[in-house]
Amino acid sequence: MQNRRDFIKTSLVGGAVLSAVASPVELLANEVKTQLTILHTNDVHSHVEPFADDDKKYPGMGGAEYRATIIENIRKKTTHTLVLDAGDIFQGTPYFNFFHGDLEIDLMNKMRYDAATIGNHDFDGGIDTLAKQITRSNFPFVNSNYDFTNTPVEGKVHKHVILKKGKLKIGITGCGVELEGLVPDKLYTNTKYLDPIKCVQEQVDILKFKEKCHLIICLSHLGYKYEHTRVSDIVLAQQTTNIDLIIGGHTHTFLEAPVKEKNKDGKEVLINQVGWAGVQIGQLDYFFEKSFRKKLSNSQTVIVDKKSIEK
Amino acid sequence: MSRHYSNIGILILAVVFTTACKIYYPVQEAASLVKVNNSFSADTAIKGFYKPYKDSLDKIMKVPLAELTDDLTKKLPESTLGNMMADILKVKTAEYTNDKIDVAILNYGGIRSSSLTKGMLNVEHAYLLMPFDNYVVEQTLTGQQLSDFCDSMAMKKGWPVSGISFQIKNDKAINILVNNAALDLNKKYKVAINDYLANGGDGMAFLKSIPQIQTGRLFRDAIMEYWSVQTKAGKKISAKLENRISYAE
Repeated sequence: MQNRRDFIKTSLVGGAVLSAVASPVELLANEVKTQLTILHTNDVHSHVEPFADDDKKYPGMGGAEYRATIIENIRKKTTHTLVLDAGDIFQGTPYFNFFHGDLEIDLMNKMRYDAATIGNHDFDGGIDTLAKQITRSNFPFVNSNYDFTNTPVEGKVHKHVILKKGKLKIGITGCGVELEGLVPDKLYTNTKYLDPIKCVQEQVDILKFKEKCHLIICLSHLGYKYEHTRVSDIVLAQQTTNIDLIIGGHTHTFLEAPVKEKNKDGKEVLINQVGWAGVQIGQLDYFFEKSFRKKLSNSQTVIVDKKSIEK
Repeated sequence: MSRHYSNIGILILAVVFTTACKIYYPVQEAASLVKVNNSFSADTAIKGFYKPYKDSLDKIMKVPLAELTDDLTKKLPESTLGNMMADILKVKTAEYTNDKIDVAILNYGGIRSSSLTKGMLNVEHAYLLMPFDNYVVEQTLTGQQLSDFCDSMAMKKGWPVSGISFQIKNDKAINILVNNAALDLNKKYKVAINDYLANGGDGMAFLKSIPQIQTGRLFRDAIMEYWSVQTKAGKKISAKLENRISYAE
């Protein structure tokens, strides 16, 4: 099994060989690729502690203390790292019942998350609790399709954010699932759900054409895929343009590897989701090169076992 | 000579120009998945930070309530964990309302643990199973409404139920039995449910217009009470599969 570091090594060697035979103009172009590492979680659901060792499904898995170590280890090894969450941070353990989200947000602040979106269960403590926790976070909450006018959350959520890592500009937007019939209305109060396809596309257009972002990410809490015609990450990918990556949540889907879906222009969109409760972290390494146009991506999926990362 | 220099100048300009026109594009991606567990060293600062929270919770959460005889799991269309939860809802609702409850229904997504391991059940297990502050309520449904409800459950591949059984065929409920008698469309049935569903949650909008008898009790507390009472009576907790919901051949 080829691990992540071997893969990086191979690509760098490949670059060096190319440079040796390239013309001066190409030589300039073939600078060392700029790497951006994206780490992501979804549906952590207040799982601060690891599951019990005798748990049938996830024995000893998860735990903020191990998640923090993994994130920090990877941060030390890479120049540019983004840590993202696709929503449902809250609800699921007594930590939320008793401390109303304080601990979850404090831990995410300590792990230096860069952005998160809002899941349906993030309303479970009521709209005031959500507003309070967004204010307490050191990272932006991104959502384009909830209208929070006349709620305590109004003005606290970003339709998009642009994160700069070195010379890279990464545009991030987000979207959430229909609330009516899912979340008790007394919890989301005046929040209005708007069409995610339309709202996300509006933000992506700004990020692509006005802000000229090099990578566009949508943090989605729509859910990976449904049997019926309901909007999902698959549908979002198919019906939009210029999204590079959808980091999903809601359906607690354990994808072995990111799924590729063709967008409206026939271009590939990557969709990923890593289960729930913080038992896994998704890692996506993007390698950027200066070029006139986007080349076909050469992606490789490596399931990294714990040891190859820790060393 | 000067011509040579101007050529170099043009070349430099060309290089600068082409470089300026270039922007960053992702050319390669690599994906990996990191399993989070104790094969990594624990971040002691993080663990230390949440320890006071954990210590204060553990005093409440680790209190034992009952003993479970076998592992229970959550599955579609019927599961041992789902049956235990629905049975508790039926028994406790009858107790709270002094009514004879015919049927108890829970939403599958409302059970938040995927399994329970045999052995001691404590307060924390109840919180993990039912973290939501859902209240126990009673609604009276007509046979027709209950039949439609069963169709909705069939569409969702089966929910935890008690006192009722049916089979799923082409996303519809068939052979519906209430207390082992065929469902009577003209009869009225007393249904134990949670307020999340009664208020139209999980796509059950039709329940919204049906009057509710409030018990004022949290379902989580009902579970803990049930466990405690069983223990006091010298009984253990168990559940089995009974073909409450199954697929028609």
